Amino acid sequence: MNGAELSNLYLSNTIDCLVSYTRQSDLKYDHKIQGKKRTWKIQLEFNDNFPYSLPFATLLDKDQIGLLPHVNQHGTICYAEHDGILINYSDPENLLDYIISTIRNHLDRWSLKIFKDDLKDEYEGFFFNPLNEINSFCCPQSTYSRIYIKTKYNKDKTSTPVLMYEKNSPLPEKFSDIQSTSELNITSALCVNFNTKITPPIGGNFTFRYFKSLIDSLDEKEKARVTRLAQKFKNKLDFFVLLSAPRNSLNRTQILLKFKYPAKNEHPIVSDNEKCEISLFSILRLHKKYLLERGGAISQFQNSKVAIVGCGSVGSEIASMISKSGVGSLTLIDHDEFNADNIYRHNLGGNSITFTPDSSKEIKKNFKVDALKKSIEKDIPYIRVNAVAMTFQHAIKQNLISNFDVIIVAIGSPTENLQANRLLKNTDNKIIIYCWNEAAGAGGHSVKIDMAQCCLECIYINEGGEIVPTYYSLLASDQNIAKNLTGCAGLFTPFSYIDSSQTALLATKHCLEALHSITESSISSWKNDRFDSYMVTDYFSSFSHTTEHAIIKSDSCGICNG
Amino acid sequence: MATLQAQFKQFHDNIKLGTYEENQTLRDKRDLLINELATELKNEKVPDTDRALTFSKIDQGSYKMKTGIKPTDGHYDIDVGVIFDVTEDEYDPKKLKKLVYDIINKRNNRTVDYNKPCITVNYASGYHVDLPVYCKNSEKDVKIAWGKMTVANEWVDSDPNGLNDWVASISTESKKSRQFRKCVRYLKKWKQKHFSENGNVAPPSIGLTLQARRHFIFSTDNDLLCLINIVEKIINDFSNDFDIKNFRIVHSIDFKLPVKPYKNVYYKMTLNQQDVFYKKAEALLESLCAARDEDCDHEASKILRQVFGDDFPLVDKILRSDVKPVINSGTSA
Ligand SMILES: [Mg+2]
Ligand SMILES: [Zn+2]
Repeated sequence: MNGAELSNLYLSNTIDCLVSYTRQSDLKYDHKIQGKKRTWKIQLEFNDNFPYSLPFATLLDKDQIGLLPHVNQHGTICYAEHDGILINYSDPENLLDYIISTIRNHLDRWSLKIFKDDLKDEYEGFFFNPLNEINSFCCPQSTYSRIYIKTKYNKDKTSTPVLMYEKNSPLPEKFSDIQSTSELNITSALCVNFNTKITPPIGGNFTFRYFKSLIDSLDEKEKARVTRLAQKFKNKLDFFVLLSAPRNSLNRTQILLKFKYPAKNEHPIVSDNEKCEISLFSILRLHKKYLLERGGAISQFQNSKVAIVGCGSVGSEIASMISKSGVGSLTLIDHDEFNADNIYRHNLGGNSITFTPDSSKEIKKNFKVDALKKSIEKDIPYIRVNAVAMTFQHAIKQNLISNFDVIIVAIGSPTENLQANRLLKNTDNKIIIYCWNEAAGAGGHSVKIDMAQCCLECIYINEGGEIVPTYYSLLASDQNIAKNLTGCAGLFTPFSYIDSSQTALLATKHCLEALHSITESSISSWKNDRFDSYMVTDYFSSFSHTTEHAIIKSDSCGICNG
Repeated sequence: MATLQAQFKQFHDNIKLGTYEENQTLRDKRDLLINELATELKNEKVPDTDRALTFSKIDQGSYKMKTGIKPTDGHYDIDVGVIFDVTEDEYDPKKLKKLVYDIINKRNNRTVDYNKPCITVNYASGYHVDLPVYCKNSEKDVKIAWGKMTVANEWVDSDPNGLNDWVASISTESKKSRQFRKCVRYLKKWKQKHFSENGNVAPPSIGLTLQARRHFIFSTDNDLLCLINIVEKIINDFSNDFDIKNFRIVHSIDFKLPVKPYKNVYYKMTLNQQDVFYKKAEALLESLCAARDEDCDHEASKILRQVFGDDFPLVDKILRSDVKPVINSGTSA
């Protein structure tokens, strides 16, 4: 909507509570709104995307800032979610009415004393400034005496904080580009810990006086502690202080302050020199506890151990999904190298290929497991990945596959699956998941086996005890499907990345179920409903999209009945 | 003017403790303990006599008064008093309380605490049973064994029967006593939501119950008005006090038990905690009145959800067209 259209919208408005309005500019309007006990002065700032997006609202009554929840230090009113909303943009008149009366109702309601606690809980939001943020690896629930800050040294002899951490817990070195922060300076920040919630300043400005009033409100013991500590700081140009106050069971309110003086000064806690510039830094929490819960990962999986046997197209995709689910330990077993042929069907890509020769003049290829480990540890800060570059037969022989909560076998070949099934039967692993794509993009399967109930062979064994194609095949057996593109060495089964992803999804779901103690043995299958390239089975025709069936022990299975 | 009586009814159903199963588990635990106690005491004699040591039980607290609400942390509790047929001269209070403690403490499916007013039996499943121990000089003269395990205990005046009777005597009409009990539950829910902060110990439920009992006035089909009256009177029960330590005026409360020993039910709260109680009660009253004065039920319900939490139902907004201008869809990508 442009200025003229918006102006027309205002001219035709019939909003009951709107006492008056003035147009400040094309897309900016000031309003006087009649509330229940007072009038409110509100500014709405539209953008030309209105009515597909909502205008920003600012409370112009400065004296109310710091008294109402959901109104930040600059008066910005949080009156609606901005994400995930469905706006009826076909009726802008009604929308404008809704916006203005919603703001009025909110402000009237938030003026009630009983809402005041919300203001304390939103202390960080009150001061939120996307331009001043600092990464923090400190625990969001703990209190510290002091914490450490890596800073960038500026030409004006002050420093910009980059990340903060606690002394006793090392930074995840492999995560992102953390390693490159090792050249930064390290300074310490004094932590001030409140034992009750704190209230933001009225008017919204974080002044030195307000800071002093906060220090004053500390209990005697904490006041004595911070004073003692502050006295130990030598005179400097800038100081960092971390404020920490109770919030909820998961997080404390935390905010980093930087005090900058024109000349060397005592620590602000023990100084009365008001002539300092105070900047506030919002905390970007990177601590394990916070990130896992924030991202929807399951923190209880931090203690879970998962192994993936086979890190090809399906296995690498599973590895990526499992790592994002919050599992704490992942073991990858595969003896293949990663090369360019894999790029379009593997979770890894060009990043994992080397073009430069090493010192021995050799262009070394990466094992898939090593490349995956590197990629996952760079992406996920709190996961331990063990790369085992050998065949599963060797790995089992060397007793490397034991004591896992879940093992996912993604090697693709039915015979090797069945061999793994035999070898794993005698280990201490309880839940094994086998997954594979069928040929030509027909579909795929994930089989979750509780070794105490049955085994993979149970669905491959006939009454005579012979190994036959499983009932759960999608393609009729014995068709010539595998294509030879580049000669015998490059024999491969044609399937695409999304086929692998769908199979990986079934296997990952099975794995997460198992970690949630849903261990019943079952097979999940997906199929391509439009598939008509080859002859299909009755099982294929029995469902559309996806299906799941329970698996039970076969009386003729030699493994389960031996 | 909003009453939201239908929403209050729903709210009450959401929070009340008292479905058959919930109570059954509590009753089972209680009966188990009482039976255990009776069996173990079979051969016990009153000291220096041949008289068997016998007792009767008395249900107390929110279970007896039917004012319980669902706990947020799964910590259900039930109070059952053990009144021994001994006079205060016949048994040392600590010896008798310790006897109960030792008997109950024999099993290992639970932990037992010797607290000042009672023996508390904690079950792993989150239930606990409080057992105050009494002696009886006469039907009218009952005393409670008072004190921690580490110090000498005393027999202190008490009147558990009288207290039960006083609360039960709220009205002979069931619709009135029902409204009273509903209002007590509303107050408890408010307390549960607003006193979780560190450093503010909540007013004990028995205090809120007794204040509500004293001030209750029946209000036909209008729980909101009934509650507003109670909260107004609760606030009136406070008086101004001077906090010498911090040099400021604070609000304090002295609300006496209506029965022996007639002591202040809020005796445990510090001056500062009493002041927080006052301020929160004021904020409660302001919100209840704002809800009452609200023309729009939707707005009123939003206020009451802030007071009581999400157990209070949200009333849908009535719009001039059927289509909502903005819907929170919760989608993301
Ligand atoms: Mg109790
Ligand atoms: Zn088997």
